[in-house]
Amino acid sequence: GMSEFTAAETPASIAPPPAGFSFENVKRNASLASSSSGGAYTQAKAMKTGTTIVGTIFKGGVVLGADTRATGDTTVIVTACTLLKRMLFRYQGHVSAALVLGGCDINGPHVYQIYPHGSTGKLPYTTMGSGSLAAMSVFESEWKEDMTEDEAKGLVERAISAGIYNDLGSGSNCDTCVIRTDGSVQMNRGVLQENPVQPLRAAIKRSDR
Amino acid sequence: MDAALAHSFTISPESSRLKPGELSTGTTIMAVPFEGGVVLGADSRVSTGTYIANRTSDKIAQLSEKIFCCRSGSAADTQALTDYVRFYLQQWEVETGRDATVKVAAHLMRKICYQNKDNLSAGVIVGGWDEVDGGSVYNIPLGGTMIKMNCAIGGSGSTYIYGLTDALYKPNMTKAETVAMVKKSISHAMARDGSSGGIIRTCIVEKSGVEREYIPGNQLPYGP
Repeated sequence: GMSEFTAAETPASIAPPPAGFSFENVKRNASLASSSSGGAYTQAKAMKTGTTIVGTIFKGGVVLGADTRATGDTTVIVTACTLLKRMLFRYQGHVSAALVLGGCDINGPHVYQIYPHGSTGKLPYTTMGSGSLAAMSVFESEWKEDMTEDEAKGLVERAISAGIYNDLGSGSNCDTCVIRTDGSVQMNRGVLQENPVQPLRAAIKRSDR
Repeated sequence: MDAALAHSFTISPESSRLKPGELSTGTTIMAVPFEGGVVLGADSRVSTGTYIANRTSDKIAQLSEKIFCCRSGSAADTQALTDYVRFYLQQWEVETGRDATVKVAAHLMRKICYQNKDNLSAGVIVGGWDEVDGGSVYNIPLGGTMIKMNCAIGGSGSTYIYGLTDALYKPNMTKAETVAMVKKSISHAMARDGSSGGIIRTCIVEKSGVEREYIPGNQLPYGP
């Protein structure tokens, strides 16, 4: 009958998993994908997000920038550099997260770069992602100390543009985020809209128009 | 010379054990004690493959007030290592009520390096000043051997300056002579080793305190 729905206790198989990453299926997937299983199963490939992300300090705060192809949900990075690096180190690089962390505290604006294996670096400006070399070439040519907010935003936008246009893994538009020492935070989605698709879509002749 | 063979001679033991994509403090590090203190020096290059992830990094980490450590090998491993040793040293100082000695710091570092030798890619040089032994330097290469030395060098760039440091080193050098020797040796290594470069950071530790300085990349004692 309907005994499984009236069970007094939640069976282990549908209990909520413990917190953190679950690697239960790694062994199973490996043996399914191996030749000994008959080769019928092809493993789904994880989607790699190539990207361009940058961060720089200026006189009154920090500016972070990102191309929109990498930006999905509105996820907020609230953990400090140490918590991030400790977690990433614990997972020995298997958590594939390369981060630019920016924020302001009592000592002023700060930017950190955090690599997947758990190493960090504190810098006045940094870039990460597949488009980082293109973006860094802009920063290395044009960054200067004590920029104003507008100068910093312009620089970040040019650096992300370099990634969008010169890196195949980055594209679409640019988002920036300004975090000021006075505590205000301003998120600018689509601050650069250099690749508008709407006009292109509208130009397609379709039978339903 | 076959390109693959040539490449294998220039990879140091530390960099051949790195996982793909892991950051390497390719590096040249050095520490030399003098009468009354110690001079530690390092380059500033952190690379992942052929890209320089950080050209101004600080590879001289502070373990306690007068004890420092130069890091080479995997950036992630050595940062985690120094965080652990700093933490244990702080505990040690609270529990014993005394300032840590360089020997204690080096032994702690060595224990962790040896016990985790299969999972770590780290070569460190611990140097500092304490009341018991004055200035002292301990070299802890891959695997967790610990050797007290009069002139310790480490990292991928060190292979190019063994001859130079053997020739330049004299016992009982003054502080100024020691600093000059460290800066000159690291410059020579940076000129020949692709994984070393940027600026030279130095740290001079004595009873009176700690002095940290750096030489910009265009003002090195030797180089193009």
